[in-house]
Amino acid sequence: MAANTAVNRIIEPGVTVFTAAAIQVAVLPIGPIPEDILYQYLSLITRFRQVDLTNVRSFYKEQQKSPFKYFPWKTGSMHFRFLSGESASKPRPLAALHLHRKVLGVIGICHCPLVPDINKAYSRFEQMCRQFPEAFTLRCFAFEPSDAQVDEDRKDKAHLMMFPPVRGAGGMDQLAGHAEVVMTDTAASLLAELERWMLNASPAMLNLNSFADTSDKFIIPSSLVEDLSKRLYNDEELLRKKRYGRLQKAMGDTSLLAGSPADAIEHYNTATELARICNDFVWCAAALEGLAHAKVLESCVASGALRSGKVGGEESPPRNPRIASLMAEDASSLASRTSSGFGGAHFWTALRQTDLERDVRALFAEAKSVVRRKGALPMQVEQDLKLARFLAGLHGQRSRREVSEIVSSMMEAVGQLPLLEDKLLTMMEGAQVMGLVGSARKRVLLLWQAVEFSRASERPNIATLQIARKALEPADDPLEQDDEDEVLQRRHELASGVPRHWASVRCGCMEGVLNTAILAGQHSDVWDAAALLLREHCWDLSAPRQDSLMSTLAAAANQMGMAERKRMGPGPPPLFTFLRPCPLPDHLQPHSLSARQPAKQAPEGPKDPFIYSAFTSKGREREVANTTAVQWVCDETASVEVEICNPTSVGIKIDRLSLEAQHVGDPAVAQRDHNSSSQPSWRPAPVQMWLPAQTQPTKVVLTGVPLVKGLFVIQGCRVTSLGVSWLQRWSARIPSLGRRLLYHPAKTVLELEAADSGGQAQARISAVATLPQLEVKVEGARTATSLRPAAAADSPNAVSIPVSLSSSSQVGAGSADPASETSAAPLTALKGQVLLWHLAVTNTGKLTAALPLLPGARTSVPVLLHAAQLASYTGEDEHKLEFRLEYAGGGAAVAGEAAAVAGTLGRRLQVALQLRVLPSLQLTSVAFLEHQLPHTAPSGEAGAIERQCILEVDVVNRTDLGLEVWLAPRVPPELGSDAWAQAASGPPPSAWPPGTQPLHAMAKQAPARQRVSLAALLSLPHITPETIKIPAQQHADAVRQACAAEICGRMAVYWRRNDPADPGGQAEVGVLPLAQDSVARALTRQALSLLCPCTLHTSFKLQVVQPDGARQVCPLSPVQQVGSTLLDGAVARTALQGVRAHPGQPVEATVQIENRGPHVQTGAMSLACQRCRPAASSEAAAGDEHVVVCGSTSGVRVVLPAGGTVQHSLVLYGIG
Amino acid sequence: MGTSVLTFVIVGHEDHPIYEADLSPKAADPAARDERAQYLHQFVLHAALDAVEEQLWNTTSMHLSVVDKFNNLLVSAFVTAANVKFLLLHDGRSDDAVKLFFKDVYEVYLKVLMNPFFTPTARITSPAFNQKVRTLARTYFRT
Repeated sequence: MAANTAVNRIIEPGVTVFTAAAIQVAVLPIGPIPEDILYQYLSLITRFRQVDLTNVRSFYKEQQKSPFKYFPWKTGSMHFRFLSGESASKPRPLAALHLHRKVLGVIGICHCPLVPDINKAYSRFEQMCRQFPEAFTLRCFAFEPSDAQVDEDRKDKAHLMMFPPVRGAGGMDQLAGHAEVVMTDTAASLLAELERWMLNASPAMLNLNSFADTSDKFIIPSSLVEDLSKRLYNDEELLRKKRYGRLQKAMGDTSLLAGSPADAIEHYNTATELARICNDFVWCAAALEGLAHAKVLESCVASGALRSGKVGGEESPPRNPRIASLMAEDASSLASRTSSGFGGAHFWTALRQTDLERDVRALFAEAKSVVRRKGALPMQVEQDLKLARFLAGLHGQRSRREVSEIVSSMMEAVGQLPLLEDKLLTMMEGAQVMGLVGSARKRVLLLWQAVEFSRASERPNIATLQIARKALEPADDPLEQDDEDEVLQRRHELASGVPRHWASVRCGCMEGVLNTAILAGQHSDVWDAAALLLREHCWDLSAPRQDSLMSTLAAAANQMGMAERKRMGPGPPPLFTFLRPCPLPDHLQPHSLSARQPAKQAPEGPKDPFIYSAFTSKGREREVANTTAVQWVCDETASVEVEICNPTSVGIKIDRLSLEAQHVGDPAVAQRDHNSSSQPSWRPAPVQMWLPAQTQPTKVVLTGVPLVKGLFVIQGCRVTSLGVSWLQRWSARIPSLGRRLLYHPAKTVLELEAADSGGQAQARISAVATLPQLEVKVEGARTATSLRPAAAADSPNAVSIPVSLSSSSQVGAGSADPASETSAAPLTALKGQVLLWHLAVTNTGKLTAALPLLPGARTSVPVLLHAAQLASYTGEDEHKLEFRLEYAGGGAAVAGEAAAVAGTLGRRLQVALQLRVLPSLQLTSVAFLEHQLPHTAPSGEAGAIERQCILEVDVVNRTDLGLEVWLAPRVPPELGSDAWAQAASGPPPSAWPPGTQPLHAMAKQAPARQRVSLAALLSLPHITPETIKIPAQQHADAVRQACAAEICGRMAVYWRRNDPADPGGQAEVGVLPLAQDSVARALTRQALSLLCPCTLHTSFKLQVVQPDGARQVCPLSPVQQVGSTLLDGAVARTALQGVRAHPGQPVEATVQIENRGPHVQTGAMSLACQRCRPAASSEAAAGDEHVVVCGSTSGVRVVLPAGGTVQHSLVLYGIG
Repeated sequence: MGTSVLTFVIVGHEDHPIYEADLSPKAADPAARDERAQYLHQFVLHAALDAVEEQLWNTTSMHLSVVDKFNNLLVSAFVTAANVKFLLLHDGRSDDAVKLFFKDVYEVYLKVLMNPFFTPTARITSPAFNQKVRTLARTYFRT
């Protein structure tokens, strides 16, 4: 037979007990369609592998009476198997025996934008449909039609169906909805055709001399005796029964395809009986098989085990378009695998609960025994495969032993199979079945055997390569054993699914692919296989082999086309390990700035009692590193720390190495906004590299620039070498030599692979919108010539400080570089020195409207720094200074309430400086001296003396240079203050009257390491209890301390020094406060009385009352007042001279106390009169014996308001 | 005459082959080594692990006898108490000889195991062990 000669395969790949229920539909691309778009269209169609009959009913027109008695409209479904044009057009020799092997539907796919003339495309479709004369239903789907094509006349194109454009309002959702309608309609059309066939079927339609009857490749040739008996007893009745039996079998098949297994069971039962009567063994076995299929499917329908054929869920799609597309891709691949309905844990559990297994086993056993009489080895193999797959689905790995036995029997039959392709298919299918029951190792062996067999039987190398590639794929899932639609099968990247424990086996599989690919001239496969070998098994390969593999790679690279040279999958070593994303320098890191929350202080030192603790410090660093999520900023360089290694024994030259990052979108941005932007999101910074052989893992920092904000996934590194570029994803850490000696490398790699997912999770970094950028320089008060250049030219946070005092002073580095911060010597200053610095702020960013400072503009902020000193401490001090500048602006600024909650995203500039403060002056002693000046009273009274207080201070110059030192009123250093400027300019003009100035009461030169005495007149305002705020309960010591504090607050020692190296420059000025303790010690009672003169003025008046009543005023000496209102009391004293009074003559004495102070004075007054005996006074000597009174009064309560006067009078009577 | 196939493998945890030895008399002759056959032997031994795992639970004996066969190649197995598998690929050796061979190799293996520097996942690289195994093979299989 001519038809038989073309047959090269009888066994169908992927047969299961469910395949009999699936209508085969050929899907043919019409005209040019890009691969990705075709895949998209195919995934739209192939997700309808199962269409529920409830959905079909609405499209079903019921044009004829249904031939099905038990049609399950509510619970049943129709199933489809989509085939590519190539496999659909292959001859199916057993199509007469198994009706479901016929292609009953054809779907053409046309991508209208690439098809100028739709009429031609349609004619092409019709022409292609002629390959499938048995097809009932034809459809030509036209996607993305133009308006003109839609408006075109379609009367002569009955099967053309236009889909709405994707870029319309509904997009893909609308397309999917349209596909659902169209596919359900196609199913309804097929159902109607199947019904029509059932109604019109007659025994005359059947061929009694089909392939299954005649071919010696299928059945054992009958002997002569058999032929003779057949001719003798082949009466018409038997033939009629035979035809009728076959018709029943065909009707059973059709019922099963239509989705009515109950009807099918009836037909199959009849067919079995009739075929048995007629000794039609093959058809009898086929009917028995069909009966098993129908029973299984009926159980599926009855138990509701079938998955719902509904496509798509109700859940809302994610806003992120990339995530949505990834999910859609996953869903479509899942749908393509699982939408058949025959799969899943629920399905198999439901089947397990039925009492089906025994029936199926019995039916298959009977079928096998029946068919064995006619040989029909391919049919037996198929039966074995169906039963093995059914058992694997039901029991999984528990059926391993039984399935192994079945596969062993199949393998034994391989040698007897007449067709080469059948032998190969048996091996491959057996291997796949072994994979289903968990015998992955046996599967590898069988597939490897198939490769060897294919190679030995000189099949096309491409076909062998496909088997070799399959050997590297992982085994199928027993629960999802239904084959993926071959129309959707994409070329997967070569990745080994073989367990990697047994390296030689795995290497053998890869070498198999490599050798076959070389023979087949598939250069991209050669590249992939050699790369995989080098990448994963370089430890197991000898150095010459690695070298030859590298040469193979180079040769394959030369042969590959331009499109192939950009590989999607990984390539040969080097291997990369993701370590960490490098955080931006501190000054460039985005911070959430909140006006309400001031910037946090720098973290303090460890709180445990140990200063140095190796564990805590490292742990703390790690903790800080972990808790701080790294953020990148758009348009600014981002870097990632990567470990690179070359484990091979061949040096590798990398022409271009760059970081590959994928932008997965910004969750805050709506999907349509993403769709509108198609700009690049990442700009890598490529580098060139030469990696010598056996390069140990080496840390490398790779950079790139994120161009849009959102989440980035750092996928790996894109490597270009030998003219080919590939994306090398992150791999596990390469085990060290020690670990490799201790363990097998494979194990270590596996262990690390398990932990690798964490590394992948870390490789997600978010980028924020562009932020402004400032540069700050700290400059000294001197001229620019004395400024040192920036320490780190590339760091915008560089700091310039004048070389101030000694050669050891250096630039304090910015906090951006902690290493240099610690290594740089600190700045030096003298204690008490007042330094004027400027913070020069320059806008180095490019955002124009972000800050009040234009890009490139510069402003200066003066800063006055006072190196304060504790007067008593003379050692060196170390101080840390930190200037902090926060700024925000640009796109990151959040307005409104959000800003109040989350704060504004900005940056924080910190300039940390270390200042070493050297001793300058040391205060050794303080003294208060009384200085009496001739006082010229306003009344012109001469002889009065003004008592004034002089502060005398001894200081020692502790520096090695001379200082100019003086005492002056203390003025707080303040920027822009005239008082301070005046105080810093030099010693004030002397307050001493000419000629009375003490020698030391002026600015003095203090030579290095010498002591100097300074003095100053304390011309201070009066110190009163109110001014010094001492407690109400006065105490002498408290008063002293308060006075001392007051004096310390008012007087200070100043020093000044001109830089000898820069005589024209501004002098350095410092202020040394007085030590309160020293001052308090020096405050004697006398000094206090000088400092705090009494505000009560007492005057005495003595009048002798003459007998005639006249009063004669007695002259009194000037009143001497001693004391202070701050102390316990004040004493006013006067003396009476030269007045005589007779005994008994009254003398009226008046004491007048005047409060000249601003406050109320309250106290008790005591008045005493006593005889004194001045030694050198002639007047007193004369009246010595005539002193009239002596005594005292006390307890006189006096309340004196401010400015008030109190008079107290008393009369004394002289005693004769 | 197919007496040339005699490959012994010790498989540690997680299917790591920790010792491999070609004990056939032709093994010493590099010219006689057929790379494809070597691969086939590896594949068959690897595939036999499936059968070993299955038969492991059917017997209390350490010696599992012939567990798998592929064409004319047979795989005998011996599983230690620590689930370390001894596999011998041969072409029809006497089961008694194989059993004795396994038993003696097990004793030598135990001595290796007692080495404090040996870890069960490490490869056995001891030349003394290798020599001993070859001597045992010569004794029992007259190779």
